[in-house]
Amino acid sequence: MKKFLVVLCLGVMFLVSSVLYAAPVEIRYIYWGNTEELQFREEMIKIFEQKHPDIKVIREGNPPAEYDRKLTAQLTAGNAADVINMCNDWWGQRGRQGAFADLTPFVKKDKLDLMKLFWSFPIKSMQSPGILEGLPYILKTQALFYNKKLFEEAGLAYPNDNWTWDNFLEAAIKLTKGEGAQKQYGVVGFPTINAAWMFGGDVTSSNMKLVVANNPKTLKGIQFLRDLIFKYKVMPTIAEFQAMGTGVRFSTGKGGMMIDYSWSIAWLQQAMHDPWDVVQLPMDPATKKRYPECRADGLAIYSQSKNKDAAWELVKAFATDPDIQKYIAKNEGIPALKSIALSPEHLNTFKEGFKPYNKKAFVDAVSYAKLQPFGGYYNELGTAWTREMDLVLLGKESPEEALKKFQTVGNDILKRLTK
Amino acid sequence: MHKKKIFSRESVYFHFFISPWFLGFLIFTLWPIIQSIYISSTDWEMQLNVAPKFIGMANYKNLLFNDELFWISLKNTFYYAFGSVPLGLILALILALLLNQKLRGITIFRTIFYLPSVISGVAVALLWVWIFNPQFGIVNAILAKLGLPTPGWLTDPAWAMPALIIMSLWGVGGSMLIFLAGLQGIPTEFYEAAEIDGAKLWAKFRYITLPMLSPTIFFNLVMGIIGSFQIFTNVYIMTSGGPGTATLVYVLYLFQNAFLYFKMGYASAMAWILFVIILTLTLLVIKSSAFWVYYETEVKR
Repeated sequence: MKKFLVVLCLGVMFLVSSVLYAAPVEIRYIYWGNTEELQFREEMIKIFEQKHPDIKVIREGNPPAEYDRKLTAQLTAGNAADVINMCNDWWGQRGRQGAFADLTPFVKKDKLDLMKLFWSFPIKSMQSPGILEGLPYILKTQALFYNKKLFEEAGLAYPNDNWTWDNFLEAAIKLTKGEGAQKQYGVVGFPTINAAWMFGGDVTSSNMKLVVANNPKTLKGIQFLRDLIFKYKVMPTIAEFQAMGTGVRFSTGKGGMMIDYSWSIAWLQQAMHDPWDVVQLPMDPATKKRYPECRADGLAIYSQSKNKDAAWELVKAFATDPDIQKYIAKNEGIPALKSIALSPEHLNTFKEGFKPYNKKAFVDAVSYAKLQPFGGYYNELGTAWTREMDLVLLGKESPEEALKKFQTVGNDILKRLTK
Repeated sequence: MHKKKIFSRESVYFHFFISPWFLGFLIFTLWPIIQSIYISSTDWEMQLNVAPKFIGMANYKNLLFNDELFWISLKNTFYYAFGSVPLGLILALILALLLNQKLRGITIFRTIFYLPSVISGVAVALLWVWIFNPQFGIVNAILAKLGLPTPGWLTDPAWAMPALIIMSLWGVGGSMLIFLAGLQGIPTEFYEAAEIDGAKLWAKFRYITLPMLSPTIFFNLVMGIIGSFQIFTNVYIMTSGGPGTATLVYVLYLFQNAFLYFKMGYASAMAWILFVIILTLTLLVIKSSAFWVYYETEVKR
């Protein structure tokens, strides 16, 4: 009898528990990252899973170089992951193709006031006509990095937020000294896209339908960059750069300034011994405007996903969960959530072992940031741009010629991609 | 009767054991090849997420008549092939002749010279980036010591391709080994007879070694041509086709079209054009072989 009762109880318990206990929903999440980034996202997923025991995230991490191929194959096969890591510099391409679900209904349902929660730039750059294709969770911006020691040695005041490109050039000249392999340069890093933008010029129209690079403002910027190398000789040539790249030159004290991204901070903190800091990019002396680049990584939901609700939970958590956003802040990323990004806690505290730096320079850059036109499937445009800029910086082609050629080739590419 | 039975059992085993490879060939080689013919006649921009659209020969027409980069990449590839193949053959032959001496410890040298051929392509490419480093590389260090000009190598449009050609000699060990095998297959009686007739070193090489080795040279030449037209890894790792378009070789451009820009139809058409080019060149070499390749058993009229 006793035995029978035990068996009966166990049976009832089993039945009840199987009714009450539903297996967690599984969602697939595809993302990119180098070893550290993959670990970084892993930690974010873990925080999410702890708070959502009913959702299990299947990780599909990829090396950055393979991500496009993997995602394109998944989308073509009609079997993409539920949640897709995306970047605002895709310019809404995937959304236009119908690959992403519109997040607007989810945002409305959860009453998220996006314009209050985030800067308008990342949100706007994640909208393609009619739909919101992603929510940003981490921002990456640019600033001017400078070596304090070299500035002091040259008897120069540190750069500040009022600097124009004239001040920049002046300092670059004074910071340059020596000869040969040991030469110290004023500038050791200047992305060509910043040269195109620095005086208000542009590479493409804002709707990405036309290449407009062949204009006086862009030309002036590219000429400026070329002059840094050949006229003022304050920046290494391409050959010298190959001998020693931007990062190494700067971190070993062989360069006074470089324009670089927020993601270089973590590496520099460990690699550089001289004191250094960052400041906002210099301004165009005529208009007092500055043009840093800003990328926003976000999450989107695959339009054919069968678990959109669970997928939305992950999207929402990455972008708005304070714990996840604080985790990003703690690890020297710029959180997309404004309240966390602007909090003194973020601006004034630094990862263990890190020296304090002017974090605000990166955060401030978001307000007037621009979007680089070579992301996603505009990759081909980027290859064409690099090809021409290489020749300019090698002194094999004039900026005029290069921009003219790029405009012709680039417009062919855009015509094909937007047909 | 008995024989046939055994044969049929053997044949069953044969088909059974060969089937994984045969199926693999059908599914993973033959089918994609056939498929790529069709894809090459479509407009398939995979990224735009639209189905392939049949456009006939338009991809081929665009490549041949509207694509400047196609011709640049073709020119670069020919440059590379005409530089690296003869140079590689000559060096491999010289090495093989040296290593064919009967000396103590010669096997150690053979191993040493073959060693580079077994190292992974990516590692080698990265190594050569340093060797060619304009400021800190060993090549320029030596040139500077000799008072010679030091080019920018991979960063100079004029020197980037020569650099890649020089680098291709790194893998010379493979053809060297085949030459060595060819040399050892030449009967020593020929040399002995020639010596009795008073032949000197050069005459022996010119009238015995070279003709006897011609089938090996032929083989290495064909493999060299095919290999050089398919060059990819070194360029991909070392220059990505730059500076400008100086090292944009054919397969790299094909790869960019297929896996960076996802123009699958276009890339497939490129692959077929490459196939035709390699096939033509190989056939030309085979045709020409009647004039310069000698086989031991062959009777010339």
